[in-house]
Amino acid sequence: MKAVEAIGTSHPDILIVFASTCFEQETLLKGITSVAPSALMVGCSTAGEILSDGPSRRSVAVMAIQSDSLRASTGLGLTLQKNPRQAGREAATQAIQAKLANPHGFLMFPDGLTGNVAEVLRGVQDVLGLSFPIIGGCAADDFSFTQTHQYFQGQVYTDAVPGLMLTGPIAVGVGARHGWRPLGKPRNVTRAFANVVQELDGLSAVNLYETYFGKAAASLKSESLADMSILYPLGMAVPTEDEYLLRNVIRVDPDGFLIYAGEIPEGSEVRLMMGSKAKALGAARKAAELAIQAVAPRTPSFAFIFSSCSRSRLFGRRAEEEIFAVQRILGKEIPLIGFYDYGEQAPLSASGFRGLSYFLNESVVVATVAAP
Amino acid sequence: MSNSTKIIVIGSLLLLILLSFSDLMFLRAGYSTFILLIGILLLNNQEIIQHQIDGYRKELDRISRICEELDQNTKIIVQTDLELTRTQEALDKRVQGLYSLHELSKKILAVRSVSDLIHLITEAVVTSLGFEKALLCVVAADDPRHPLLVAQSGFDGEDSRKMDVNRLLSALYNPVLNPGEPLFVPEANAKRSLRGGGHPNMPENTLREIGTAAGLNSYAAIPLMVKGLPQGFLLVGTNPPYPKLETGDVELMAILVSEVGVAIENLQLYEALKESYEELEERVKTRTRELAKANDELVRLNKMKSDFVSAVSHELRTPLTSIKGYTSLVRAGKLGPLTPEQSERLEKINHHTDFLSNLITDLLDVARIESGRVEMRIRPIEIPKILDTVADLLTPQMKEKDLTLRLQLTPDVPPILADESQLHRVFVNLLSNAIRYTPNKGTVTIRTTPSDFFLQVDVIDTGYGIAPQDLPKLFQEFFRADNPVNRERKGTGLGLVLVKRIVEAHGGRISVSSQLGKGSCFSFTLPWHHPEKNML
Repeated sequence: MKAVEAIGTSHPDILIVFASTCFEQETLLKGITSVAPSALMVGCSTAGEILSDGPSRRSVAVMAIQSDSLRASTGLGLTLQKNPRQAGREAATQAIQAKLANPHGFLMFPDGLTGNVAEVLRGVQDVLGLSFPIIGGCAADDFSFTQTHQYFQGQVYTDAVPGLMLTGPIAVGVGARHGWRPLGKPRNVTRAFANVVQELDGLSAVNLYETYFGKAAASLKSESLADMSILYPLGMAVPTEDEYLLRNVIRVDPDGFLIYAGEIPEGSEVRLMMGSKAKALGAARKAAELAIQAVAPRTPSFAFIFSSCSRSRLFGRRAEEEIFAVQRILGKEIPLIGFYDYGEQAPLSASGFRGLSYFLNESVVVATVAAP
Repeated sequence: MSNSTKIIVIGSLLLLILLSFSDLMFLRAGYSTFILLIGILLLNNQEIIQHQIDGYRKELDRISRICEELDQNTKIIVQTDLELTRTQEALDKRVQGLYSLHELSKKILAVRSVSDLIHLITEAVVTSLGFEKALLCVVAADDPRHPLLVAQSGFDGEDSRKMDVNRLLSALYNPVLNPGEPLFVPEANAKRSLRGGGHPNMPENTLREIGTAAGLNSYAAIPLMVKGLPQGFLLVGTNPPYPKLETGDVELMAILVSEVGVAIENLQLYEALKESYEELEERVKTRTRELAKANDELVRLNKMKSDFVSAVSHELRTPLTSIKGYTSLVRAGKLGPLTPEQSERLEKINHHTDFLSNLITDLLDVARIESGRVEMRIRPIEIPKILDTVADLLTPQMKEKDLTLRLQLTPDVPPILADESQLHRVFVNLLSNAIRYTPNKGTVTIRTTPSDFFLQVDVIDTGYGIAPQDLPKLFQEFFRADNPVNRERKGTGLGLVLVKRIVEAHGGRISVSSQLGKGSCFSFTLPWHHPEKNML
């Protein structure tokens, strides 16, 4: 409600809502739509909200946009679990049906717990083309990993993907970075299905961590391994890109299978990655720089930030440092909204932002929108 | 295979094709020879290739070994890094915790009620200290088993509904509140024994029960002590996937809770202070109202008195004028010659009439000033000038008693703003008093001392002086000090009253100091800037 008041009109065109699952979701959305019933609305539940003032928890973040130049259309894909690719196609198809000129970027907030988001992304790319910038974060639920919610036109969904197409004489810039570097021997994924890695180099997948962590591994329980994989995720090399795609362990199967927060195809080559808070902060700055360079010479009118919940866990009580680092580069006065997610989507390459978008883990995505 | 070998092999194959189609015998023989040659060549090449393969294999083994070694190093790096990270994390957590605590302390100072305080604390424990849930309960002072105020944060709607604070309090009373010791359970739902938690006296079931009651897996309960008595408890905790509590967290919470204890104590003191202050203020107000009322009454009475005096004096003056007129007629012998006895009596009548007339004039002046009917004409006045005229006026009397007048005036004193006739009156009054009460051959001194804000004038005599008990009464109406002069001569007792009124109307002060037998000093001040008030 504050957000709507802040732009000085009761008729915003677009509402973007990120909220904690601690609120009664339906009531929350009813409250928000009652203020601006005619606006387009997308959003999702989070593992922490991000605003210009810094990160906050157990709160609601709303961005209200009203613009003469920026036009938007929305789309919703359902049943990710059953057919993620089709859900992606559906969301994208609905969004382009409005036939608005000059599409610049597609925002999406899929349910990362039910479906394979890499497949959803492919579905969107089937419709929008491989080089179209797709930006977003997976809905989250305050680290419970049980059920997330997606918001679309005042309704609460789960197992869905809401999307928002940004069009018009605007410029959209994206920067996505994580800051981790590969370490040690490359390993082959010899048995895997979607996001479950069963064998690496013919050995039980959990063996990888046991090898590297040595003695400590014996005392590792599945949940602390998930914690440690924040510091030491797996990385997949991407052809023609410097950055590796990161994958975090969500949990360990009793059989020693590793369940990751993103697909790892069988046959791919993976490496253990190492990072630090300082490197992660540096990556956030880099992402912000890329996002601002991409819209230069214009200055951004507003910006989105989608940061991984793993990063929030990694930074702990100092999570605001990451947000402030980004703000210092974007400019403190640029309105900023975002959330801590369960996986990010963004193009990795900076060249013209026409690069392929990927499903990322443990990264920070900064997207700038410059309206004339 | 090297390039030359390739050329040879390809050339040979081309020749072979050519030769195999030939009919000539010798060419066929040549063909056989070529086959033979190629065979030899291939065999030879095979050896070279084999040799090369062996070389590559060795190289591959070497690289693979290096790779393995590097991977071993990686393990060391990862393990060192892990250890560093853990240490760093523990440190960061500690530092951050202390920092947040410091920030929180500042906020605590501004809080003015216990209810606000406990809400602030639970909110901060969840939002800035990063624990999942927090509950702070303050118990009734007279009944520590009865929860008085409860604040919670991080518990969602359902949790709060299920939460039974009474049950929690009774479960925590014996282990935590009564002995004043914190309870720390790192993992209530752990399958293994909880005895590692350091609570040998607590049955495991109780620990699990508290966890269930609060809906927490990892929790700590810290007693809130005020003046050494249990006044409540703070319960913090987490559930997976939030990290479990550690000893450091509990220490941090203990610091926080002790601070809360102090804050509550301060708030109680503040409340008590505020109450007594308010009571005092109320009393002062009542008393002020009473005094104001009494004052109003006094002012009214005083005015009545002044009006009365004024009226009576007027009524007295008319017959007095007739008496004086007729007396002087008789004295002048206009009604026939007078015997010396008659003359002497008439002289006395005249003298007493004069006295009565002066008394009435003074009385009228005092009454006029009191009723505020005298207008002042403020002008810049030069003190030496006014003193000259006063001295002129009083010289005969001084000569009569052989007194010396000494003027100690600061040179170049700027003019002072005052009403000339009134100021004249002040000097005449003070000087004639000094002359009157100073025995023959004495000295009267007038001294001026300028300061930043006012000019001080002292009139000093070497007279009889005033008894200490009389000093405070000196400026009261009709008061007459007991001394040889007063016993002989009558006075109205109104002169100094008039002087005081006039000086005060100019914004100044008058005071007196005296020593019996040595003399008196009357000091008055006149401000350089006359206050905005021009009525006496």
